[in-house]
Amino acid sequence: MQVLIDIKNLDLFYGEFQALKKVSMSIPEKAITAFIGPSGCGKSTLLRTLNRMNDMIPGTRIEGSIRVGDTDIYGSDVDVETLRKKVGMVFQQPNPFPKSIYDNVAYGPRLHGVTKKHELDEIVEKSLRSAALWDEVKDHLKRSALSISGGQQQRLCIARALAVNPDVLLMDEATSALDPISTLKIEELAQELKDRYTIVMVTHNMHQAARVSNQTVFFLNGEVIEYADTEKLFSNPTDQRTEDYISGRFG
Amino acid sequence: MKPRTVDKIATGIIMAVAGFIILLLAGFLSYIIIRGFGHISFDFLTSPPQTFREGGGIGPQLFNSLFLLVLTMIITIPLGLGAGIYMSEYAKPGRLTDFIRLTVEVLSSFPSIVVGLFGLLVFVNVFEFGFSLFSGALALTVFNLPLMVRITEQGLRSVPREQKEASLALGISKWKTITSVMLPMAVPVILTGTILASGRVFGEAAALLFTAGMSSPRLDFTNWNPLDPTSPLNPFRPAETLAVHIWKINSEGVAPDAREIAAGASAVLVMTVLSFNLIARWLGRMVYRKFTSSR
Ligand SMILES: Nc1ncnc2c1ncn2[C@@H]1O[C@H](COP(=O)(O)OP(=O)(O)O)[C@@H](O)[C@H]1O
Ligand SMILES: [Mg+2]
Repeated sequence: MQVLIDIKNLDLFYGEFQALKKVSMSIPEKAITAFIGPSGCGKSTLLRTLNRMNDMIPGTRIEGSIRVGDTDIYGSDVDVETLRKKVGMVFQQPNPFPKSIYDNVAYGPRLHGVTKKHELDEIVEKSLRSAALWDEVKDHLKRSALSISGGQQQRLCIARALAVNPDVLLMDEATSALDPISTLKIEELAQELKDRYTIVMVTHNMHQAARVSNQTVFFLNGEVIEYADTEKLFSNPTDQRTEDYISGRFG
Repeated sequence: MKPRTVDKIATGIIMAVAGFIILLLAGFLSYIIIRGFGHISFDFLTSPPQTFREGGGIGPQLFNSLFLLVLTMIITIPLGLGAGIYMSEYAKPGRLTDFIRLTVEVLSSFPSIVVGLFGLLVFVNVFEFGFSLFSGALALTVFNLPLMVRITEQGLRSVPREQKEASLALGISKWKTITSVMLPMAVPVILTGTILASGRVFGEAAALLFTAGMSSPRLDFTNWNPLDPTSPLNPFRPAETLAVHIWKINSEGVAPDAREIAAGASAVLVMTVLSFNLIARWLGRMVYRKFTSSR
């Protein structure tokens, strides 16, 4: 499998506090990689370095390197906006804009310069289809995005992210605010999307990682403890701490 | 005493104080309105004042107040929005930002008569705008800007961080995120605040005595050329506003019906400001609903 994201010796500090310690890993293209570990171990922090959303937090400092494709994303010549177009993100709480369903999906392409109505229509339909939402909303695209259910809102947010044509989709506990049925739908969706996108998901739910991911990374206190194929990590972990965690002895 | 008794007594006292304030306000408002209401007529609202005879109106003053309000807002809103956006989204925490914030706070606590004298010195004399609507509008801007900045900041801060992040994560620039996600969501707060600020401007007298002046040239309401000295739209003419007019006839009015005119004008002023407040609430709610829920 081709490597798309290559992280080398990454340290991240929030002021004095070191949240990531010498993290290194290679994330393969067109597969699902899951980050697991107890709360506060740095999963979200690492995920948010991949689209540089940590830039906004004052006092954050980074050492080491992250390459996405051929680009060193913390290099001086990198345009953060271009990076974020390529590396999309879905958040823990569904966060659609208080606009119509259509306008939510069209938002990204519109602001990136697509103006023709028929092009936008096409992008909106394609994205909603990819997010497995089209059939449910196609008859009321003008309705407020806040009027649909939480699970639908989260798929709308996925559609919104897909509409700017990313290569990577980051999902930070994207199902933790949803009911089991909606969760299942998003897991199925992730399975379909991995043929076209590289997916990195944070989950607090080991069973979810076991169900959907190809690779799993286990974190503890800002360090990578173990990184392996999901099947291997869950059936035959190398590290004692991984074993303790997946057998539910802590976390 | 039992905590429950204490709780009851404290609640009772607070309710009594609140009730007293409400009664005081209601009494005050109804006194002004009832006393002046009888004097309000279409003629009163449209005809010019009389110095010595009975039957003068407040037409030009009412117009001046409204026009001055518009002028002030044309200057205040862009400045206030700009500074508010800067303070809430761009300013890095530090000495300079703290200093700006302090200045804004101090500015907003100035007595308005001091702002008026500052206006006289700076806008009227140094910049030679004379006693004019323009000088008045600038003085009111000084007076109003801190409020406007704070309103904008408050509006932007009321936007959930998740909304901002959603846009940034799509690769949308910060500026476009502000203009296309954050400002629209902040509109209800900003709008409500702006209208409330307008009420303050509308009722202001002290800051205008020495800036917009206490006289009005003879206005020709058929002349809409803003550059002509007799045109009501000329921003460089002196202009007595309603609030200033009330102050003036109360202190030196010689027309036989001066008291009635002052009462009528006060009622008009109070009712206008009151309606600003009601409109602000109603409009804020409506816009909020429009932005957040389905049609
Ligand atoms: N903005 C921040 N400033 C300071 N510390 C932070 C910030 N965000 C997260 N942290 C700390 O960094 C550590 C990792 O947080 P996070 O990446 O959110 O963990 P996880 O997603 O695994 O639960 C935690 O100890 C957390 O308290
Ligand atoms: Mg997290």
